[in-house]
Amino acid sequence: MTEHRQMHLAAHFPGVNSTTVWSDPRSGSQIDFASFEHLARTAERGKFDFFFLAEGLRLREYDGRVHDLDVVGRPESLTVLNALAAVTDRLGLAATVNATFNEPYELARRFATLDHLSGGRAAWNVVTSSDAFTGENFRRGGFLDRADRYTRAAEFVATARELWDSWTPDGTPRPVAHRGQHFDISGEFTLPGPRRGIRSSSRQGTRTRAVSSRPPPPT
Amino acid sequence: MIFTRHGTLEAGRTFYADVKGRLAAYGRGPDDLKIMPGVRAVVADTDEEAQEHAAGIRRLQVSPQNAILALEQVWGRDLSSYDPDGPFPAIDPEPDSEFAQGRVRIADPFAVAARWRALSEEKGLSIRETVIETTTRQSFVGSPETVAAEMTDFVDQRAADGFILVPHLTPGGLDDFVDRVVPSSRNVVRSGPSTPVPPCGHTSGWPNPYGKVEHMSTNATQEWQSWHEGRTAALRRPTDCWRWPVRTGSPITRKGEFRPSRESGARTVTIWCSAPGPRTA
Repeated sequence: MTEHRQMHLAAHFPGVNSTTVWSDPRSGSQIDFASFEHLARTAERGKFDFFFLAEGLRLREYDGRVHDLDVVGRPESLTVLNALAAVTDRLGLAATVNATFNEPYELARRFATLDHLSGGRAAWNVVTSSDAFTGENFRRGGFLDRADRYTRAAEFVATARELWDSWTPDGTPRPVAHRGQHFDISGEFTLPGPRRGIRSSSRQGTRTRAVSSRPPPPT
Repeated sequence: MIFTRHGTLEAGRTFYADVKGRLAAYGRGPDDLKIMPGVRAVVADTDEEAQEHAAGIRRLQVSPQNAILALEQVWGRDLSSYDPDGPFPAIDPEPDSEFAQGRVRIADPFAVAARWRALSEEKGLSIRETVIETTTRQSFVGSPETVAAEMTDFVDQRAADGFILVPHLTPGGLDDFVDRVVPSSRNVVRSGPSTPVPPCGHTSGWPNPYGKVEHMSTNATQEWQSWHEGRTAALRRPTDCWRWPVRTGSPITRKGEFRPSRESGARTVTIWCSAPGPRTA
């Protein structure tokens, strides 16, 4: 018999894209917890590696209006995954979270919390955002040109790792000091880091680009 | 892990070899990074039935209105006067258009428009048929055995390490795949963490739609209200009968007005909330 390579499977929760068929009578809410629970438990039953949530930080507009045909409404990912941690046992829980907005300390804390609540199942899909349109929803407004988006994202991930790695294996917090182009942080992280490290992913595309979660080798 | 686009076996093999080949420079082995394209699978009793079912799903995904919407994203202008069952517009796309906001920008709309037009002329397809042909093709279609075998082949031939399945239905869109494809390929689909992790933690209640509520707590209330008022208005719209907001909510009518904090100056930003607010504020 032929030796096959292992296949990894993951589930993307559908929602706002036009690929989702809402006219089907079996179609349900993309916001109710029951929907997330159903798909996550199905994926776990199917031996999937992880469950994956996308992110929408601003509703799409056409000619200045939310289009009648667009399905809208997407809850915040980490909160949903925290709830799913309680109804799944083995499934990886991956959230797409933007590194153009947010703060490393706050986000590192939220991911570490998900990781502890889920018994080491947290994963982060690191993305960046280019458009001032989305930026208007954040108090800094649209900011960062294309080049800086990726330097901030890389420093963001590196800073999160410094925070996660700051506790000793026997559970003693150690001081952290990070000073870089985008962040200047000093203090102590409020909880131990993730058990196995947060697994990170990145998406290839025009909007997002691979961000190494380890720094490149010195040149 | 890389979440990437699914294409032909050859394209997958090229991408896979390219990315895996770069890992050594970063001190990583080829297995340290997984390549997982996003895919859509359609399963039925026979290959023929699955093909028929898949074509039906594509027609539902690209309704006449959605076909025009897809066209407007490329053309960057209002094309609502065009017939989705008719030919393509003679006019060219609008460069640097801000017509569609909040979507990934199409790098070269002229190239896409030219490709779509050429396909339409070559095969005699309408706008809608062309959009169906170019935007919604499913990745794996067939009986459970066919789908399992094709997916296995992609992995065995190193075009991918696995797949991120994107179902077309919420929330039952993976039921068929998990109940029929996974068991029929028990010997090859062996994913999932090897050691069970005990469940822990307890979360209940309604998810807070605001990641940064502390920055805009007073405005949030206003936003919730605008959402709920919008929902009431939306429920009266006859066109809503076929899509989900008729049951849960739609923010179609009103924007919430925000006066942002000092850092962004005195501008008033008008936005829509990206999720409905709590049922009771």
